[in-house]
Amino acid sequence: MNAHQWLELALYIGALVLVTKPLGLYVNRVLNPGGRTWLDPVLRPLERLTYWVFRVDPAEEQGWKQYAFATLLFSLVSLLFTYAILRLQQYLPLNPQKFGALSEHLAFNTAASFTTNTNWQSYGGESTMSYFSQMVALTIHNFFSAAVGIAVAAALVRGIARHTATTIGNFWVDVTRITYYLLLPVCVILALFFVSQGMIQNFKPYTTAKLIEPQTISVQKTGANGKPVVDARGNPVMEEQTQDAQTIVQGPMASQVAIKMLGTNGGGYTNANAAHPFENPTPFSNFFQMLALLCIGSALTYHLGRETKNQKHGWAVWSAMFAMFLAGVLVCWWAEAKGNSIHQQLGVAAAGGNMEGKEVRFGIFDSALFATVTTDASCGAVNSMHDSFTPLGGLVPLFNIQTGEVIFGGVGAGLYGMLIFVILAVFIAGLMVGRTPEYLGKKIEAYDVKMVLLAFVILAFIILGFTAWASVSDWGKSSLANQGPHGLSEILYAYTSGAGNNGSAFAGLNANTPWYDTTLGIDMLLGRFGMIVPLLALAGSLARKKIIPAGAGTFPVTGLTFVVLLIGTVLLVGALTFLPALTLGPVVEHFLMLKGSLF
Amino acid sequence: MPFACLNEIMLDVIYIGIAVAFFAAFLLYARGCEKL
Repeated sequence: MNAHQWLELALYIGALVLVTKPLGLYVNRVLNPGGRTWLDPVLRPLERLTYWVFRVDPAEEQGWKQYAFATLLFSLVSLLFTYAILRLQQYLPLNPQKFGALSEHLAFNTAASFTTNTNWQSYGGESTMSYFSQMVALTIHNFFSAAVGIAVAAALVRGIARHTATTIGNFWVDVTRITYYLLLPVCVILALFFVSQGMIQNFKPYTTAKLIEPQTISVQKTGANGKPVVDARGNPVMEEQTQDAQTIVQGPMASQVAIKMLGTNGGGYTNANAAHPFENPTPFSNFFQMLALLCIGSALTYHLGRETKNQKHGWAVWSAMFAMFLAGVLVCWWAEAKGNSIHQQLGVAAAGGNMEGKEVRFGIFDSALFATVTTDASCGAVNSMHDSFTPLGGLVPLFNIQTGEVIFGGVGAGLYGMLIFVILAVFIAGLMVGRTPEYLGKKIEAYDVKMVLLAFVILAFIILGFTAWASVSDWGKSSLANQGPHGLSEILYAYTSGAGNNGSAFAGLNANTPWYDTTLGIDMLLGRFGMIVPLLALAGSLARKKIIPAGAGTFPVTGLTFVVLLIGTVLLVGALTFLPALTLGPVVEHFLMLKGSLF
Repeated sequence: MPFACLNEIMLDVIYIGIAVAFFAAFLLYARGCEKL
């Protein structure tokens, strides 16, 4: 924990603060269909053409049920579109490596993963996906799933801001405007910046380099049909191979990485993700990838304040997110810098702390910061292997996801997730003072609390349910690389990452089996839409309410008391739901490590 | 038609069916939320 690392942390925080207001103002204009932006002369005709082609009346608003139906229909159609491309990959263009079709379970898992903004990957991108699949099946989803998340957050904010209204916006207009005015322009700039840093962007076939010393490696056996061979349990069958050449990946990487980070998607072009030198070439690219991850989530809190005409409330929500972000960074950084006590006793520890599973170019601080940012942001991108973190260092990313990813969170998903905590906090405060809870002039009634609780319960139910099932099943245990509490952490992380639509992997778990692919695919769908539906119902309910003037018993939703209560609510709900499972995983592993046992 | 090909088509139908069934369930879930 040296001075230049503290300086980088200060620079990162400063950049995040600086970008919040201007981007928030821009987002506010994009999310208001009448809002004017400096891109109007170029994009307005394209926007109008899109409405004309798809027969959308931009002036016609939707009630929450229509909005939910449009969200679900759009997501289902795009999921089936991706599934079809992945299954027909060998017949489609831009496939110089002649990759075959994905298996049915992997195609389902990947389609569900990218539709839900999870971007969990049970495959290595560079050895599985053609350029066409990367660009059309996956990158398009990176835009659309991000746009859907922001659209749902915008609808919920409208529900909070409006009164005696029956509509919460138009889904098709929201998705169109977010994609055209926000995601595309920023991604063009980001992609060009990444290319300037050395990231590749081409359609060349992979390059082959001859090795000076041939290597013997263990790889998954490929059958006569060109598909990976698995045994009766679905586990990969391995074989020894001697390699005298190295294949160097090529392809349209910068364009995918830009939206992968900005849209908090995280699906890596390569298996090593942001640890790969092509996918994250320089310290600058690393810094701006991390900034891209949190900037829209941060800006949306400004949009909240602007829409509800209570900017202090927007900053209060931002402050709660920021406090939890900072605490996570410091704990993870401290744990990794402290290192593994057993390695130190054996004299094999790196000088700066725990370097296992970390890219030497980034070191401990940039790995810990990236791990915290990516799991705060519901992004699956990683520049180090979280499985190799110390138990407490690995607990931070795991707990970040288990909070519901509300610490800035996924684009849109972070804000709508945090807003349900806000309503719960206001409800708890109301109970404490014995008054009907109010939020920004609206009474929070039984129906609203039921919707909030539905959103919470669905997450807890699927994460803990699937983890328990996998932990006692042969299909679940047979994919583990580690036993004991670390094995439980690997399973818990996988289902937490899926349900939280994060997508980062702990590693150590072979998830490309029919059971894991299928259950994780279902886990992601339930985690995304099981939460979105009650939230849109909540938006509809809040929009219908009348505004009542604030009284002496109204709990203020600005200021330090509110921020502390909000953080307390997030931590309490997370702890009550997941502490028993965390105790059996990373916590017990930490104490066993201190006693001398490693897993 | 070879058995492997038939098997693949059957699995495709199953996985597409799972996706459609879940989205149908989400629609019912929305109706349930309305009536709660």
